[in-house]
Amino acid sequence: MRAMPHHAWVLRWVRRRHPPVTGPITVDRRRIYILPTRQGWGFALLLGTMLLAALNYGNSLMFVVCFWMGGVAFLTMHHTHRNLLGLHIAGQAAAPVFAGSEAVFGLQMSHADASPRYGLRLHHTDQTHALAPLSAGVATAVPVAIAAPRRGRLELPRLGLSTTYPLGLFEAWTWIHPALETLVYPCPAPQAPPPAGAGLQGGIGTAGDHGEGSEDYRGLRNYRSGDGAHTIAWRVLARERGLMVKQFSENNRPEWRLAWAQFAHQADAERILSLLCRQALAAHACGAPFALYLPDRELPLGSGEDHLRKVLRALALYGLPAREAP
Amino acid sequence: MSPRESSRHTALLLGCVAIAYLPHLTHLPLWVGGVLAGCCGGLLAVAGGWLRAPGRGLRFVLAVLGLTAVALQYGRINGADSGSALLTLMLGLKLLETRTGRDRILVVYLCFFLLGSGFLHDQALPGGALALFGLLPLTWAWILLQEGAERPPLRRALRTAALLLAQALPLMLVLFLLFPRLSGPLWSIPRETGAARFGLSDHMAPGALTALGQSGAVAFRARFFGAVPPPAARYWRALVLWDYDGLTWRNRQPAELGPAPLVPRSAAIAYEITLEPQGQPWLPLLDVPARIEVPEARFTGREALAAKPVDERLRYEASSYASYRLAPQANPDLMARALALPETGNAAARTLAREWQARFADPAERARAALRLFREAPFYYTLQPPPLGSDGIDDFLFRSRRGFCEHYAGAFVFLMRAAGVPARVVTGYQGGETNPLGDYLIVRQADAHAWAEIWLAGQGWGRVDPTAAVAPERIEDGAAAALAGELSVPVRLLRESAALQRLRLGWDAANYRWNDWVLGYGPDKQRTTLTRWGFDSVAPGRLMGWVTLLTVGMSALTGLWMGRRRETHSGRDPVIAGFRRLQRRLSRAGHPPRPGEGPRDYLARCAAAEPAWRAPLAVLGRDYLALRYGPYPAAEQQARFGRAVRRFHPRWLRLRRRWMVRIGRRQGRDSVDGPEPVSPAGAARTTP
Repeated sequence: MRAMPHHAWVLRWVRRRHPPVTGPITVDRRRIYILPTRQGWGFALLLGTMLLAALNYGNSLMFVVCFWMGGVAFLTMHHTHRNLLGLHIAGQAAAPVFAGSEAVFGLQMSHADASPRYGLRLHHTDQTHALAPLSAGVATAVPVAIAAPRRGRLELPRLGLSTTYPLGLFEAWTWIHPALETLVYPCPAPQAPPPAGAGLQGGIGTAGDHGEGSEDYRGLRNYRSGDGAHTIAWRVLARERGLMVKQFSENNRPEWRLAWAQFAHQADAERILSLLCRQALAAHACGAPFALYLPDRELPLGSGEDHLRKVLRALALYGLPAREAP
Repeated sequence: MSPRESSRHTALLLGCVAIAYLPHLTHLPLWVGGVLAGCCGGLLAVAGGWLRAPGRGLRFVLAVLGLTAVALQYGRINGADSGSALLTLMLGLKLLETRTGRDRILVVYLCFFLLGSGFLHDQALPGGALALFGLLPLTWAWILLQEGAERPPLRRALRTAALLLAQALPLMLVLFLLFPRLSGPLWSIPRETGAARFGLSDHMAPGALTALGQSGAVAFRARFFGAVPPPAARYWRALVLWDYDGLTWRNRQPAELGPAPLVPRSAAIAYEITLEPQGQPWLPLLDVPARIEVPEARFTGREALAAKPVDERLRYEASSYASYRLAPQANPDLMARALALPETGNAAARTLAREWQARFADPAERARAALRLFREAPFYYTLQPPPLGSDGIDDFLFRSRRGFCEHYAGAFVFLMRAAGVPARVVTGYQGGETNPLGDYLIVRQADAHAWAEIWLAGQGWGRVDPTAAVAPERIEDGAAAALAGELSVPVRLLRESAALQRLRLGWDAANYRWNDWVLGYGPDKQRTTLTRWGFDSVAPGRLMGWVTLLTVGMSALTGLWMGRRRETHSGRDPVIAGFRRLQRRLSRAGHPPRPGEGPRDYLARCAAAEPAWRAPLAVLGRDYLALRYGPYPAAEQQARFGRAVRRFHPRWLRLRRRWMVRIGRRQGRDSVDGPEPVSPAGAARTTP
């Protein structure tokens, strides 16, 4: 968004004017802002020069070119504005992710025009992505990957949607802020000692826990809501074969007690959470029932996807102010 | 960027450059076009990867070289032609360093400018108007060359470009009509290339006008505010020539200073002349002119001279008198000049003239004698007179006796002066073709003419046309008729074929209108036009106010129209529209929906009422529910539903079934399939 102002006071004003919205957003006239681009000013300069020449030489056809292109330039304002007008945008929550990766929110964009809309750009957190043309009559899913550096709740930041179509003389933009958030689990530590009562020797690590080379790997199944983000087969998704989840066979193992107390000697709470996270994943991977003991909270023994999600959620939100989360 | 996209960009850029350079093709020096072509080749080579894009240093050197070359070519760099050449070279250099999207857009901008500057050279009808069409492909390319997002398909971009230009057209017209025009240039406009000098020259020698005789070029067009004078009175005065050196008539010193006194003896004839550029200062006027409205024009001895050669089309109003007394009081200096002849030469002519002088006391009688000579001796009016010897007048009068108007006028004035009658040569045009499509006269270079004026005491200068004595049809029907046998075949064809004639006059009328309304729309035309349309003030401030008001208003209307178009599109969901159509058709067939009835119940009720509808309604109902309440459907499925509804004709299906039933019964068969239609009320309502 070259034309769009980025001063702090503007951003404050924008925050007040366009607070997060739950539910789908329709881009109406009050949401669209438009300003000439640098190219627009350049073209104005060109027309001004041509007008001077036309005036000086009293050249009628030069006047015609000047006025005609001036009219075209002026009217592209409407075309650019209209390119955003009437867009329906529905946000899709992102699946929870581990800290350090990216949370992928989704935008379902559709419009009621007879022809596709071209030249839309999506802006978020200093990034700009050119969108593919939005086809007529079909909702287009636009992924919005937001970096999730820290565990906790991750809100979808305010997004900008802009266009300079058709001639690049004006830039129209709108701020959209669907009220969406997702959980960011602690980043699992690469290595963690086995929990008390696991009956395991040595450390548990990334290798062999899960992944396609694992012996325990059983296959893929369709994604059901609630499946953990780490089980999603991202490569399959990238090949556009849909959202699939990797499955691992369950072996009967002794029950695991994941306890904060085991790592109480660690100074850094985040480090402890990372270790516990690794333990939880390992326990889930080998199918053992596990329980979690945090200083402020205990989760009883259990197993399965749901249990893992509960545990990871407790780890993600540990020590954070309570709030209704998605 | 994909190679395909890159080659598309290159093709678009080259297309733009070609369109923008086309208007300059003929008038810019060849080397400029060569450099541009070289730069285009360079762009291709860079895009193809055979050549590295030139670095900054090389580009700078090239720019300086170009600047120097233009300065050497034109002696300056800020005129119209040198500016165009410079712009072309800049465009070429820009092509060589086109890498980013912004570079490409800049190339398009430069192309717009180059196309516009082409009009400084030519804005006449075919070329100028055609160049305007170049705006469409340039706008098209402009859309396609946008950086960043994925580009629309070619046809869609073309449609957008055409739509933009169409929407901007009324805006352009308003601005064109109302934008205040300046009466003079903002800075002085240097003349770099003298317009080709064509037309009457400042002297007259045998053969001077014959060169023009074959030319169909338009000299000027004249529109009369009242009745158009008859052909024989259409003498257009351009120059008066006084001095003869034995071969050539010219003015060795300025002609008269200040207009000779004129006593009108008829009503004034008012008219307007649109003079084509001819590179000469004379302004042709109907004989004998009384008034001309051209700023800075010198109105000397009843002839008008512009302050500088006319290099652009010039329009002026003037008035003339058909009957007059011009300078009835003798001016001794001028009389001496009007009687002067070379010391020697043309002895036979002088002898003849002296004979007349002795025989006729009345100077008018001497003139009549000379005309009688032309009429009665075997003189011919021809475009191809034989060459004359050193005693040109004698040669012509007594030996060849073939000549064009300048021969007759020159010989006549010589005879008159030798006979003691003050006389002078007048050059100009005679005749003019009426264009019924445009209500004006076209006077061509071929109508160039020369005649004589003699001065008679008490009457002043009077026109005598010796050519009329030889070839009266020259004066009545024009040069083309008088010379019919001598004109080249194409010219003759053009003049004789009625269809071609119509075409030619139509084209000329279009040209006249174009020149009048488009090219000639300057400050004066703007003032008169706007005043006629009821603008009470045409002050620049006022006009700019109107321009702003109308621009904003029209832009707002366009915006509203585009918004409305969007809403009608959203109301045109093919599924909803299809279901409405289905309801309409069923209602006409006697089954309107009941209030509060859902689509499923409604269709079920209709299907139960008429067995012929059962199968199609089941399919339509299922599809409708799936499309309306299922996951968001593809446009193709929606369109298919619309087509299915359009093919469903309930009344026709019912009628056909009844026929089948009736036919089946007549043939003694039991039934066709299903029971009889049950709804007599519905059947009654079927009849439209």
